[in-house]
Amino acid sequence: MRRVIFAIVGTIAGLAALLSFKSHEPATVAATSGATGATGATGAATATGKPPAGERDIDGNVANTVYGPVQVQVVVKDSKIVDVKILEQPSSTANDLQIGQFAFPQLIKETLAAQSAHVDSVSGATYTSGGYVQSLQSALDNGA
Amino acid sequence: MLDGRLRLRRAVPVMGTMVSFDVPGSANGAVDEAVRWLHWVDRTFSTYRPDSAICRLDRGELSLAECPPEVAFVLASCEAVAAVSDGYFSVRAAGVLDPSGYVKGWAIERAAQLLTAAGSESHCVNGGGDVQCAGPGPRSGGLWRIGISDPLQPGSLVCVVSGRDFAVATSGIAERGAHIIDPCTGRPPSGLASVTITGPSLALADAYATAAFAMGQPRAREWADGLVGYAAFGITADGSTWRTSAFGGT
Repeated sequence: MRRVIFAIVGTIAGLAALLSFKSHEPATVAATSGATGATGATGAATATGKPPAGERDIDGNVANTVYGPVQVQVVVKDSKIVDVKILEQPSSTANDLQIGQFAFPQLIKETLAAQSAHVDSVSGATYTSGGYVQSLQSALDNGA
Repeated sequence: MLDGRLRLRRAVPVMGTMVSFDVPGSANGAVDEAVRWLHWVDRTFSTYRPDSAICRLDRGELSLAECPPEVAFVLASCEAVAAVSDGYFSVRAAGVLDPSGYVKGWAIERAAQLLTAAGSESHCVNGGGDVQCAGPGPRSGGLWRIGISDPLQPGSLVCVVSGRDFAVATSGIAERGAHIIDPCTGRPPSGLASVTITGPSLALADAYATAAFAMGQPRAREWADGLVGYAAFGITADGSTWRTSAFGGT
């Protein structure tokens, strides 16, 4: 059974190894022409439908599980992997967020007395359910 | 559309932490489904449950094909992040198979997608400090405001990230102490108190934050500067801060 894991891992590790050689066309992975529907929604800047120069999408091999196929797509720029997309996964919603259309949130540094910061939620290092009790998030959940 | 009087807030203990739902204007039924999903993820991926698929897979009792397909999906995604992060993100940082650094953000992101699929146009799901918000926020201007905890001063915030349709994940020393291990040295990384990643997907933001924190200073900043579609904000052990150029703001 380990062989199955290593097959998937091997595919991606092999992919990474191949990618480190510029202008080498990987033989074990398919280029994306067949997956146009998915490709349009993927990639760092493919919102216009065509990756910019020096960037390309590469589909990993399809891993067949008893539940259905799983396939990962890797976006490569300058021989480096810059993004990873899931092309196919059984029984799931499509993970097709388009980075090209993503508007970065603003980072605001202001005088922050925690209780007066008027925030909706708090991001921080993971708390345990015990640590949560004392957290600012707990206060927010209680309608503070 | 958004009724200011309605704002469902609910906190649920699951996956070893608390998951907080904030759904302005809606819909307990959808939240119930999202909570069921999170419990399923916990049963399937928990490294604390000997009968989880991930533990049984690691012990050789299950093949990958016998696991739910999400397991193969998650492990493949983890390998991809490992490749992007020069191995600083690793499902075997501590020896045993442990994809938690990806699973939590992924599970929260999909919980938020379930709410969207159920018709919610605006919501925020916070899984133990990793946040996915969708649609416009409930405040004037339609923005969500997510505070970033100060790891050196628990209970305080260092800044606020404000926008719509984005994810925020933070890895750091706070709360759980040094629980992230540099897979290259086997020891906790040094120099960073916390690193926050923002971008469209919480699954990747969470994994990238884990990787960046494992890198420590100054490598985390250099690496995060090269990320496409994701921005980073770091707090060093001495309290100074940095951000990557993708981060807008004041």
